[in-house]
Amino acid sequence: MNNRLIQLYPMWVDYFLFALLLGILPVAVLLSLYYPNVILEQGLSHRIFYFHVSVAWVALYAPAFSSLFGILYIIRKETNWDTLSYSMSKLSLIFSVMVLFSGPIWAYSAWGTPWDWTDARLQSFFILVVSLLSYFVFRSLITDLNKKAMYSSFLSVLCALNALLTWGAIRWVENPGNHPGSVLGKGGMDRDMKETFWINVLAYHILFLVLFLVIYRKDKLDAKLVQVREEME
Amino acid sequence: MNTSILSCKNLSYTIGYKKIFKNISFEIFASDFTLLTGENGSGKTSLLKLILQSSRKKEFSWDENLLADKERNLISYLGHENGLYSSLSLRENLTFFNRILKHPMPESRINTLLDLFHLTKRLEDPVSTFSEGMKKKSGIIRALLVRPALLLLDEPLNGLDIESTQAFLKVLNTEFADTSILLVAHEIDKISPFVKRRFHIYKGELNHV
Amino acid sequence: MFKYLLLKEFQLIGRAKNGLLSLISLLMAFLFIFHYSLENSGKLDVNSIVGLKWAGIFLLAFILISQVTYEERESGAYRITRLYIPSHLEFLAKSFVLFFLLFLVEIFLLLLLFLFFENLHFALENLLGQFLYFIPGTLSLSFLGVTLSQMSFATRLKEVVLPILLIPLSIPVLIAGMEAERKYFSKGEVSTSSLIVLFAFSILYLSLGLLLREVGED
Repeated sequence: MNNRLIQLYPMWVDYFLFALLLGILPVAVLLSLYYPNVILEQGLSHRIFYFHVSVAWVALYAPAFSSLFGILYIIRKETNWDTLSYSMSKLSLIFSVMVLFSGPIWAYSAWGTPWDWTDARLQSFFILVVSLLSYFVFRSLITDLNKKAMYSSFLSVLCALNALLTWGAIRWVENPGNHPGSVLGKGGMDRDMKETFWINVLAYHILFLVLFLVIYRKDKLDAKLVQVREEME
Repeated sequence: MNTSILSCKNLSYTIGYKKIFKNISFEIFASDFTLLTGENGSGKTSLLKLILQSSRKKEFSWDENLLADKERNLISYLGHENGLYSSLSLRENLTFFNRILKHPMPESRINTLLDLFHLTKRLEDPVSTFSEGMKKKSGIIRALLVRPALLLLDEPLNGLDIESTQAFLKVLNTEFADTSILLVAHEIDKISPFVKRRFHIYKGELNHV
Repeated sequence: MFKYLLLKEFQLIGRAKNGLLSLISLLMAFLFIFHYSLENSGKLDVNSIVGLKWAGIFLLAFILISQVTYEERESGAYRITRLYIPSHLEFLAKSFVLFFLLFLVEIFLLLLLFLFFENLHFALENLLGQFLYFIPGTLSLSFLGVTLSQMSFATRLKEVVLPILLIPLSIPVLIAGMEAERKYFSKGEVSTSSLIVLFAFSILYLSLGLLLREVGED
């Protein structure tokens, strides 16, 4: 990977992705608000499901990407991989916080309480957020750049482990609590719900991609600035 | 011509984005006494620390016979820190470091070094209670426990009194005559009678002076 | 060589009794606070006491971990030891000593729990349950603690960073062990799957720690 390049592809790809995002995200939101029927017991609050599950998917595999980039840094020792891992961790945190916000809103109307301590998935997401916060605290307090990259890579692996445990929380724990099971592979959703769900999944994945490009470019520019400053000394 | 014990080819080293060395190459020969000089911050200590990791870096290659030698440790090192456990006594420190060597030094020899540096009476005291000069002397004894292929010394004369400096240089020149030594020092006048070669680091490059 | 390493580690701990005493005094204060604030309104059940036991060790272990691991890095002795001793031996020795000390603290913690909380009865048949999951859990904590202490030493506020890293990343072990132990005391069942999970964590943290020792050179 060329260290000098900030943008690896033509500008029209950027315009296309932004346009796609501007088109699909409002459609997804509006669809989730007006199109499918709701589950009667939960009422309108059920519609947050389309947002909550979509961002939760991203929040769970973003740490895996971060750890993969971290492992590549450990092997290749090129700072670009560390920058990629760092950017991906930021996204993990953003989307995990979105899950922690939307979850209690939904839980309050569905279960009557915003936080159910018996729910394995909620608790494990909380742990994931705390792990990611500790990752950023650690990075901010380490001065040696080589060690920052190396140790952050190891931490990203540990955060990915927490993400894996969060994914498995409703599958492996004996009494996972009130949290609904996986939406995949089950015939439980009506057609309108399924369509809305998959459009939302696509929309938030595009949001994830666009945010990743923006954040990664910003981080790469920051790294470049530090490099130029040090070369000038 | 002495044989080469350690060869370094095209070593570059960066701390963060700051280039410390740019493709430096050098060789250390058997029984050589090499002085390493350079301005503050030029990378002298970094070079010594890189040599400490030489077995894991592809830029370095050791003489095969030395690598295969089961009786001789490759390196001994004295850095800015004395390399001792502050809360343990001098005896406990020396005992531990002597035991983990491939060829432990006889106790009589250790006692001789302790007498030479006037530390015998402080053998049972924790190193944390020593003065800076005494800590430096303790670190020197620890570094001299082993007869390595290469002895790395980073400003060993800092904080030493005149008598200890003379004693230390005498030991280096007599008992460690068959050991390659790479020494960082600013007191060139004291060292120069013993030095065979000199490396100078300047702006990331290593020059043979 | 391993025995000399262990001897050195125990000598270091012998000189640094303040770390052990700090942990013990904090544990006593921690338990007293919970005893005073919670037992007044009704005796805590066994499940809650099990939670207190795990929480006490996992929250406060960083004190002992920092004591065991930081001292030798302060004056460069670690760098010299690494010259002559393979990294995996050094890591294992450190982890073993830490595990042993945490085990001693756990025995003391149990005695305090028997003293403060009425619903926890001292009985030989209960002792198996008290240690069955605690031991692999503490082993995981030891490996993870030594690994994270190496990382935190490179930071500006190492005493602060170590608990910030250790507590969130050890929560999965805490939950797995605590739930298994609660199930043991409520139903009398030994969960082999939980034991496997706890030992799997130990192996994972051991592997990560050994790898970090190799690649994260000073």
